[in-house]
Amino acid sequence: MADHYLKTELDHQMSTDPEMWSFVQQASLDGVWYWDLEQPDQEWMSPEFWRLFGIDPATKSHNPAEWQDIINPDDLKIALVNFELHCADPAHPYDQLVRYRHTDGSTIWVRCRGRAIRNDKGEAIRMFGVHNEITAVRRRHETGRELDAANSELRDFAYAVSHDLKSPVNTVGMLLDELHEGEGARLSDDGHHLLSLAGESIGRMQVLIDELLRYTSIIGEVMEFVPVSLNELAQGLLHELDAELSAANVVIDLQPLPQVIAHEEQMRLLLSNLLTNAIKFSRLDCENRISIAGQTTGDNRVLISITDQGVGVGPEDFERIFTIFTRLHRPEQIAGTGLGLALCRRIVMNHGGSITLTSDPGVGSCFTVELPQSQT
Amino acid sequence: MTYEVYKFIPNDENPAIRNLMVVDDNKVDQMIYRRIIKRSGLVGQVLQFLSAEEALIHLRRVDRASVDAILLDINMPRMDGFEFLAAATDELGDSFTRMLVVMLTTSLDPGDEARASQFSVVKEYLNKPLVQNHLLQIAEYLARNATKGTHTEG
Repeated sequence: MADHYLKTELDHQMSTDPEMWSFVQQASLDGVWYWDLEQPDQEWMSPEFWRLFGIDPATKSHNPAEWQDIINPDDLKIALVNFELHCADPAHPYDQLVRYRHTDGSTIWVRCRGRAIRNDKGEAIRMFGVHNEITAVRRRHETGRELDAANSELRDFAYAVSHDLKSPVNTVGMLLDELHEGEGARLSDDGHHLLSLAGESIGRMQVLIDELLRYTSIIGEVMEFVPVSLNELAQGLLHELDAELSAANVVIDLQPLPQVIAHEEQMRLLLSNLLTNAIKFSRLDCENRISIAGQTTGDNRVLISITDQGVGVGPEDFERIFTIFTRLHRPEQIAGTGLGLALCRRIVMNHGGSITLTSDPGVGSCFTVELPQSQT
Repeated sequence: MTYEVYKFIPNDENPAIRNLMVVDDNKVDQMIYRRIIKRSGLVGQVLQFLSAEEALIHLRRVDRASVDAILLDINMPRMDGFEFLAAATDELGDSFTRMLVVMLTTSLDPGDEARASQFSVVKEYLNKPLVQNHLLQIAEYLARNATKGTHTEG
């Protein structure tokens, strides 16, 4: 098939108009070099190359010793090996990332590519090459890797600590039970009171550790996205929460929920936390209605809302309640660890979505989860 | 002595669980287990091991009494619960105990539960702490499976 006429025309322009090449060089390259392999001490370097390292091009001669002086010695070895291999076999690319030393002492990353120009016998007689400076990309890459490593270390630490705390807390819980079982008959009322306070505190600590384990276990979890029926999840959860619902005088209005592509266990945790949260903050003096609704928007996002008629939250706390360990009530008033909504936000973040709250104190709250469905 | 034995109910009174082994490296927990086990009135004798290695040495003995159930902790130093399971089933097959119950430290170890379920000798899981009801479950399992009739020696 013949080339497009514009391609033919462009090729002609490129070979006849020097301005074309100079445009390509300025627009896309940070350095150009041309090396005479028959006189290897002759290598022309473009002035832009030297400026990358804060060097005045006028102070440099066109001799490869000049750049070999400021390149990282290990990277030079790799470049020379690639050079030998490329000269012997055109199929072996001359292409590597190398580090140069800037005059200010910092490291400049450069991608260096080249191709040999050969004589009739196939011997490499010249080498033409280009540079692209990629220090910024490299730094982002390294920062990202360091962050990942720090995150995973933090997760492992939190998991190990909560796991190790679990065992002595269990032991103390069992000791208190044994004390009650064996010595209960001999204890005074005051003794019983103290023992039950100790039991409650240990119980809270067990819940806290469980939640902490749950929270840390979903950080950096490998995300397997599958189709999840939110309807089935919600129905299952409501069944499990039956006792809590009637104790808190709550009626549920479950509207049809869409199917989402998501991590199933995390969706279960999300709905479960939002539901128990709504139940927990229901009002004691009247019947409470909790509505669960969902819809798919035109731009392929799923919105799920959980609306309650509970005690509500002031606007100053809309953002704050999603922060880890933030609680608005003392444990004697309403039980909680300050991890539930932080877990919800973490799950939604894992799915690239968002969670928001609107609320009127005394009227109720509405949590809205938005999940993008681009994975489909 | 590498383990402790406590006799609560003589065999001629037919306790629901004649011979129970508990493997857990925590000494205080073992003491509490013992009290719970004694109070349950379900257990003839209990053998308590502070390490999986010692439990394995005991199971290798040809002159030992048959074991009805083993309560096994997962997190133990040197040989953990999984290594114990692998070594015991490798060496002794599945018949070294009538049932094995894995004690999980947290209710959030689905990975651990999945791993333990690969051993056919594991019949139950319980989440710590041990309570009377767990012993009742073990007694019921043993009663359900008593017809197989290996329960003659003592």
